[in-house]
Amino acid sequence: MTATAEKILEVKNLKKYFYAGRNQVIKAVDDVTFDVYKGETLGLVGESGCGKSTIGRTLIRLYEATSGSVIFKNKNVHQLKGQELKKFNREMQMIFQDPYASLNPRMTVGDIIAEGLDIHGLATGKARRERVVELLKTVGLGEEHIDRFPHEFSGGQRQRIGIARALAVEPDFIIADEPISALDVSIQAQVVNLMKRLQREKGLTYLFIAHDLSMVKYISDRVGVMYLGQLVELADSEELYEHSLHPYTEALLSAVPIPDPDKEKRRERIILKGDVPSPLNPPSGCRFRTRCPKAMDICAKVVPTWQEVRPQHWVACHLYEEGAKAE
Amino acid sequence: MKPILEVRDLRVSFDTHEGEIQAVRGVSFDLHEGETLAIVGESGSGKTVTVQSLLGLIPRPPGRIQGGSIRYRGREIAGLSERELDQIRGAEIGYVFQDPMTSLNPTMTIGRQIGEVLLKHRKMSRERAFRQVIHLLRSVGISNPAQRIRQYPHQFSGGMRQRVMIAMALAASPRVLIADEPTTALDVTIQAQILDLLKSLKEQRGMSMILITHDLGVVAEVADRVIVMYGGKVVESGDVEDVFKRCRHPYTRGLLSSIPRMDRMEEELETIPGNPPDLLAPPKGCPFVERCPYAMKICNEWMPDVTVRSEIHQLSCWLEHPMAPPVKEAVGGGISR
Repeated sequence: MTATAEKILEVKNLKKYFYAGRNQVIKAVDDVTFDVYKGETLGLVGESGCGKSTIGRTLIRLYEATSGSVIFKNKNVHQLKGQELKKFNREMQMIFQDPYASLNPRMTVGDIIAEGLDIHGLATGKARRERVVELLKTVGLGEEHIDRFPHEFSGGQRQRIGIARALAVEPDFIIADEPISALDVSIQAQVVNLMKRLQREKGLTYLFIAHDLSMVKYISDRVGVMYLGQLVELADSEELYEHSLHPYTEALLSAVPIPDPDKEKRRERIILKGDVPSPLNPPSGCRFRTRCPKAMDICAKVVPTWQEVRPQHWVACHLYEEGAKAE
Repeated sequence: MKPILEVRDLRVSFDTHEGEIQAVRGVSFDLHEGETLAIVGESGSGKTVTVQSLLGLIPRPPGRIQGGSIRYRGREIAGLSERELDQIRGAEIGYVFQDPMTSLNPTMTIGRQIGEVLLKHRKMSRERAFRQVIHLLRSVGISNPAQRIRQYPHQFSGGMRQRVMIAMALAASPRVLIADEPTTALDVTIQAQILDLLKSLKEQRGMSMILITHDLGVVAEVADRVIVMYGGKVVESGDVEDVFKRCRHPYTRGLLSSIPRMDRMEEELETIPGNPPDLLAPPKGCPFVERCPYAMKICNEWMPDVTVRSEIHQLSCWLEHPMAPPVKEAVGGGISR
């Protein structure tokens, strides 16, 4: 992605805290800053509880932000009201993780897909049905499916229905939250290839949230890595996978097994000790320091700065801050 | 050397409202002393049912072992009574379940749950069992075992619970360990820890291991041999290296080319069109016929016997027949003659 590309979304110092009883604050997303360019796929990876889904949900206003701003097409999403909010709801759509839980079991597939058309008054009567059929065909289903119910479909087909529903209102930006994790291996590629094709045809921008690093690499132009509520690294996907800087990214990449016995034999694996600490009480300074094989004294005291250390390659780590190595 | 476990023509069905689901339809394999055998397949391929029926773990009814033989160290164990199976479960063959969140008893301390195995199989005194549990927890990498045995499952993280499950499976020193998707519910850095632990425990104790997984990367990392299952049948099996490098069955090929790899930049992934077969009415012939790009008429009618390509690589596919028409350029440039 070149620096001249148009920014469609700017996220600045975004925080989302949840209050879990007396004096207990879960800092699910804590000071995250990144941009998304028009027409690209930005992948967001990290382990469970790192805040990647919370980011997605806060961007689309399923959650209100605790602080920080989300600027979509030069407007602050969290201040939109009335007609502007309605327009935003068309422009940004979401595909959910669980194709079994995210479709209303009492609605027909046709009504599920057309719900957005109805709400926004985009089509009625014959035109509505034609539009739904067209959407079904776009995602590889057919007219015969229109009056059926979700339980009659397999996981992969349901995810196609979820995609058709998102496309119905002609969005520019789609947040896909683990859209393939619940699917079988041979079905995952079908769904991802469908998403890629739709992106080419419709010029869509994706935020693709997943924990499967190899799939994220395949679909994304750029990838951001999260740990315990914060972004630790963000770069072009090839750059990130070839020249990762942050010790967490390195460990994460080395932990993914490669389906090639020869390579597996030769590979050096970085095995991290322990578990991810609780977001209720995250470590001081750099949050990764308790598991970091390269931790230094400064890491416990000072929060590392989120900075661009190479063109388009962002990282938050004391190893790459000026003078840090001298300590 | 004689295999420690020999499974021949195993057939397992489940009775449901809609009819009989033929989950496992004639599966045969051997497990040799000291090896790690991976069983790969997608949901519904029959991999879990296969290993659960080895130990009589499928609920009966609705499950039924329709036929076949399971020999453990030369002794037939298919059709044994629950009491006889109790002598084998845990003591001879240990089992690590997929989901550490739900397979531990939430109302019992970790120490008591693991201790139960020792009291039952090893007839230990309580005090010795207590010391042994601490030793076991330490060997699976749980720190402060003396404190942690008094804790309940909910006080452990997912990775730690899986370690507890492994400790429990190993408590009675089994010769065979079956691990059913032991890392599927875990994050990737924790998965690496658990796979590492399983590998080293297997070496230390000289066990044999059956690992069930849908992740071909995990197979490449851990296993010596692999069985690929589809629609209740084994379609290809053999040495991991040979099967990965020279895989012949169109399903295995499709599977390998439909997953993106960390060490490559792919432009477009190959896909396998369609969906797995309905095992209420399983196809007469090869289960993969509907999705296979090379399907011939015969494939609809019956599946060929195992074609032995070599001592270390077997598959069931009509394309292997000497008189089969040559396959030209194939998916991913694989099957070419």
